[in-house]
Amino acid sequence: MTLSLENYLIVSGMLFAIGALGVMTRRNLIMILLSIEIMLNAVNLSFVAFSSYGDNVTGQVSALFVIAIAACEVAIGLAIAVLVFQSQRTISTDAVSRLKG
Amino acid sequence: MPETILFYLFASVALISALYVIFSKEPTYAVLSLVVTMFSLAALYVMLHAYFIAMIQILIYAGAILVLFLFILMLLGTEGILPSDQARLGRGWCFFGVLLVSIFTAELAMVFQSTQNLKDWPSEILGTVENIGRSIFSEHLLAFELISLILLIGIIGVVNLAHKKEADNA
Repeated sequence: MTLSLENYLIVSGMLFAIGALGVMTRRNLIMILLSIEIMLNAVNLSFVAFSSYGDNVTGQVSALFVIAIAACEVAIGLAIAVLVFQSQRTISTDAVSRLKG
Repeated sequence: MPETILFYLFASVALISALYVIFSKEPTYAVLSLVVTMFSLAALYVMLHAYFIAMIQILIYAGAILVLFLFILMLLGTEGILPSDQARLGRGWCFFGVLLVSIFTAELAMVFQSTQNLKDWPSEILGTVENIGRSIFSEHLLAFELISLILLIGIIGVVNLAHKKEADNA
């Protein structure tokens, strides 16, 4: 029995579902960012799996770009989390709903 | 056969630690558990013969992004963290989840039916640094330069946010 593309795709889909569940259930800004990282990694896994089984290097290059953008997004998201904490003394997303304008 | 055992080992470690990330009460433990997820995903990349992506995964995710998370957590302390921040999901969310799962299942079934023209084993020489570098600097050169522009915009944005914060404190 050899490993096929389907194995990797099922793992990727389950990871994406876990990340989506985290985004929907947590109310802490940092935990939401962590869940988004899980979702990005799930997509990366399917990119690399398709690239490797389809014999096309473009998927791996896309995975590289996704990692670069994830790094950028995390830096900005965490800076926003620090700003929210300094103005509201909490990083619950319920605090952000009180912002105006 | 040992390859199959390794695949199931790393895949289950990745899934279990990801579940721990979204269900743990302590954000520090969640970040450390995400490190475990990243390392097992890197092992899966190695099994797909994507060596360069596996190395970048460990360097960027475990080495840079998660260390940034830990720094911010230590900066904020624990008073900003709610004791239990699990939201209660209503019936509308359950309906939404069922819808999402059915869409995913349908998409996976469609993909599984259309993968006949793919190979049965991962390509062995595709993921080397030489192949990826050649592809980045020839056919994906514009996208590569745009990524550097996005990183520059990110740097400027973060510095601007941090500067505003200092100005408010003063």
